[in-house]
Amino acid sequence: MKILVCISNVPDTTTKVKFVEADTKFDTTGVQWVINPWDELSLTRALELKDDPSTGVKSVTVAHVGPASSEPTIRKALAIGADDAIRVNTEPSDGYYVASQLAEVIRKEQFDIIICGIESSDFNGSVTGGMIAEFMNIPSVSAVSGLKIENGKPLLTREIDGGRETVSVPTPFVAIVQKGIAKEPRIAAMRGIMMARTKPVKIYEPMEAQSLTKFIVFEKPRPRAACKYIDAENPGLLIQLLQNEAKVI
Amino acid sequence: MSVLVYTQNWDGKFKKSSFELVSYASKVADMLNVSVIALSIGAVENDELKKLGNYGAGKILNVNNEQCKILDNQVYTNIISQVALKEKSSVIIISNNNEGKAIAPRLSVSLKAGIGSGVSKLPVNLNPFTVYKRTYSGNAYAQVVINSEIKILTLAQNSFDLFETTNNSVIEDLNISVDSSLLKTEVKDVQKMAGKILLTDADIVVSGGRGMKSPDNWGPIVELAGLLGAATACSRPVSDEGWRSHDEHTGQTGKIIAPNVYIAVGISGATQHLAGISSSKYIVAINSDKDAPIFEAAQYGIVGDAMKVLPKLIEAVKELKK
Amino acid sequence: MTKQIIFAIALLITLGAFFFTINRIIGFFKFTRSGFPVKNLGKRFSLMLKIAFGQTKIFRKPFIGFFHALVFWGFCVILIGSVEMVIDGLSGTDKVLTFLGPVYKIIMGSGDIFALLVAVSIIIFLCRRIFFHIKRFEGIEMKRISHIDANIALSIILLLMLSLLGMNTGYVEYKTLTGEVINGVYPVSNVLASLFEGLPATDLYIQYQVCWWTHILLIFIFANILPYSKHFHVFMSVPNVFLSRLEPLGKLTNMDNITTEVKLMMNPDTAFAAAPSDTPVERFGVKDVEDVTWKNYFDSLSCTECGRCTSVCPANITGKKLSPRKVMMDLRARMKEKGPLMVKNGRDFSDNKSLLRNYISEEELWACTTCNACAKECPININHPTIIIDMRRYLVMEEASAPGELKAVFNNIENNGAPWQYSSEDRLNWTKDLGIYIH
Repeated sequence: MKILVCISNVPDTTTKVKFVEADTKFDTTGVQWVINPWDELSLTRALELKDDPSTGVKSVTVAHVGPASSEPTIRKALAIGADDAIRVNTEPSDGYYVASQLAEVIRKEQFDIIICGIESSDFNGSVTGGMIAEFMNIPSVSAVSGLKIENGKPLLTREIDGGRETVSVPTPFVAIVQKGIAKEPRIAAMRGIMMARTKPVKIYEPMEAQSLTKFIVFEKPRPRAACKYIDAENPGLLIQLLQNEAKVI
Repeated sequence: MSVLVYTQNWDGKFKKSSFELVSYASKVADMLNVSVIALSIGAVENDELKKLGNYGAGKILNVNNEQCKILDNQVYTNIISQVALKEKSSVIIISNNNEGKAIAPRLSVSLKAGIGSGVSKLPVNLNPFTVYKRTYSGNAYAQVVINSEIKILTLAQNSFDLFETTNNSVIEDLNISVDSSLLKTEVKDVQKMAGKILLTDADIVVSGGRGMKSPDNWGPIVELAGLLGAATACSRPVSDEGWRSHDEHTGQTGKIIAPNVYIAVGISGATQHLAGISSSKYIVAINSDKDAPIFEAAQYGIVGDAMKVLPKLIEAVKELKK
Repeated sequence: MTKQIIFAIALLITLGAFFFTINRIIGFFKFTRSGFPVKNLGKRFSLMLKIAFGQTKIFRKPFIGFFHALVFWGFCVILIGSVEMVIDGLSGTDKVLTFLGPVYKIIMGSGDIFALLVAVSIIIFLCRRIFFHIKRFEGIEMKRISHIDANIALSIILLLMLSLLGMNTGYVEYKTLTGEVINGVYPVSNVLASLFEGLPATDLYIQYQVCWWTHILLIFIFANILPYSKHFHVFMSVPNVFLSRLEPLGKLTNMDNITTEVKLMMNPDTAFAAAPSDTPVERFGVKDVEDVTWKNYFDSLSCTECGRCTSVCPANITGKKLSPRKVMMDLRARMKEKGPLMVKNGRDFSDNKSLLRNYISEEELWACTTCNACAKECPININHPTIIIDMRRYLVMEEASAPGELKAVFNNIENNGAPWQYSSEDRLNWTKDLGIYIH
């Protein structure tokens, strides 16, 4: 079985978010780029499945849509343990465009399980995984918090309101995963980092595709009102404020 | 032309979020001067369907096929897609919850419709169609233009008020045929957690962090939550240590919630936790460390020992209820 | 003549057995990796004089340490007497080293006194072990066999001392009765001889001979048991001190192949270039016995399971699973298990077990605070932290396996340049109100 993990390149969590060019573009100066946290968990789970000989998973590939400047992030994924990588050489303009590119690559390369993180920490779109599945006319399961392979058959756990379901769908399918899919992300071992240099990264030129949305301007959230402190000796005042002032209880 | 709103049901019942969706759809429809059509999939009684009319739905479509019994993303997408085309919907409103996130992207490709995901306000512009959404995990907001003919908007939870109107709705049972080969999902097992108030639905949340020092100290949190009718939550270290269930973990890689008030007890306020709660209307922080970052995000704060403050809060709530 | 032939045969058998054992152990050493070069001989020599012969680290436990020092010094002196016994046995002489004159008297005299002192010390040790519960001697790694091993060795030493005293007493009394010259002085045996007054000379001669043979044969047997016992430290301790790691405790040894790799990665031109032959084939860190250095293995053979290291380990004291003694004992045991298999099937042979996990768990390794209290306390300068660190290096650098909190630290250092989750832009916030001007 071949697994594909789609990864996106995002600014690290501690980055101070700023905008330039009249707030139309994200300021990339001094930004540390990392693998999207949900994609990191996806990759971890894929590698865990590959490590277990009983699953039949033979390879884990990562795919990314982005320019050459994303290569370090792809190398990081290879260092963590992916066998090879695919990069579609174009700017990721919007979810629809990215999904079109990835779907095209998947059609050419043939994978059994495609794993996507439920959202990316930069645009919080939550769209790519589902779109890929629809482009390829294959099933998708979302809010997946568990993925295992028993007797050669994949079993997914998906979160529903008030509980969870175990479902199965035929391969190939797209699993859109969230927290719980792996306990904590894997790090790259020294051995992995050294071997990453030799793993293949296949570059595809983009196919003709459209984007349907465009970010036109950004704004920082309005600063919240400063915190109103209540004396620890008299917490009852808090309850009064919540009821009368905030009107939330 | 119409605005189509898909309202999920839970065991045949709608929730407050369903009515928020219809209210939102109704306001969007007003902006576009078109009608609102609500779509329900699955077994829902007419009495329940009628409620959607209270919030502005003119026509309520009821689809209940064999293939609808479980959520298969391809089947549901197909149904909504067919309805949207039939009703010539130019805007489709779906919730940004788990089910919505599963269906909306597929629908987008199926109808070649651009998505504005996680919107929290009405569209800021109609021409070009521009929506307002959260980005960078809550560190910024953006205006996004959708330039396709059909637009899909997924509404962030608890971000829009309810607007009641006179109910002039008409319920129509719709027969949509779905190719049975499209149903590929098989449900092997269902585990439901009985009784507890769902974190994602709750208006009030009481949450504990590592500052609580031990799982044995959770009693006051649970008691306060019970008195307030709140759900309980926790920060990541707490669920990692196994003190509380993973379902309670709120944060960047946990649940992202938007209650009316989030009471954070013994939580320092690390960036990843804040990413999960930043959309809360009010944040209350109780922490013994006056320099804890949580106080920068909170509207109300108490600097003190949680184990001393909580009992007093509990007393105050009990007084209130009298 | 017969006596010489029998003695020669006994000696040959002993030496044969001994060399067989030593050869076997050398074979195991061949599987280990090279460690630090042995330089600075002058410093090493003075270290040996101070720590090994001076017993300075043993005296860190002053009361019981004093008795151990007595035993060690006694052994050193009595060793000379034993050498004389071997020469006597082979050449048929009697007390051949008498020609050394006053020196001989000093050697024999102190040997005689030490025999009594050592015997008393051993009795104290045995009573302590058998009748008192000494915490340091207990532990998950201290199985029944360790206690039996200790008691047997102590008992043999006691017998050696008793046979020495018996030998000297018999000699003194026999020579007194026959009016012959007494070679050497035997202050203790002189006193003890009064117990044997009244016995005929022939009986005393027999006592002398029997004790002589008992003593030397016990030495032969003991010498061959030692390599298989925790008491191998009798041979290994002094060399182990001589071969100590001379770097300050707490200084880690850098890994050369990693230094090269880091330099490659910091050079933007080579950072992402494919260089297949660059990747070192040999393993990072230690997973199994073939990865340890010769010194690690030497340490494990020298370890006498005294437990002083574990008794000062802060992790162990606070209930963690780590026991530095156990790390040493496990290494020795694992080599005992895998060594013969590698000799038979080659260095690359795998029995699907390894030192890591099958013997030493990850929990033990991560509990170490690298405080070096163990290395500081060890009376023969065993360095436990180097092997613990090397096993951690294997875990992180080969398997990317580390406790979650450490993974977070690694990520933070990689992304934020600091162990914490703060933006690198905030690094200088702490200077804001201090009136410090940052260029």
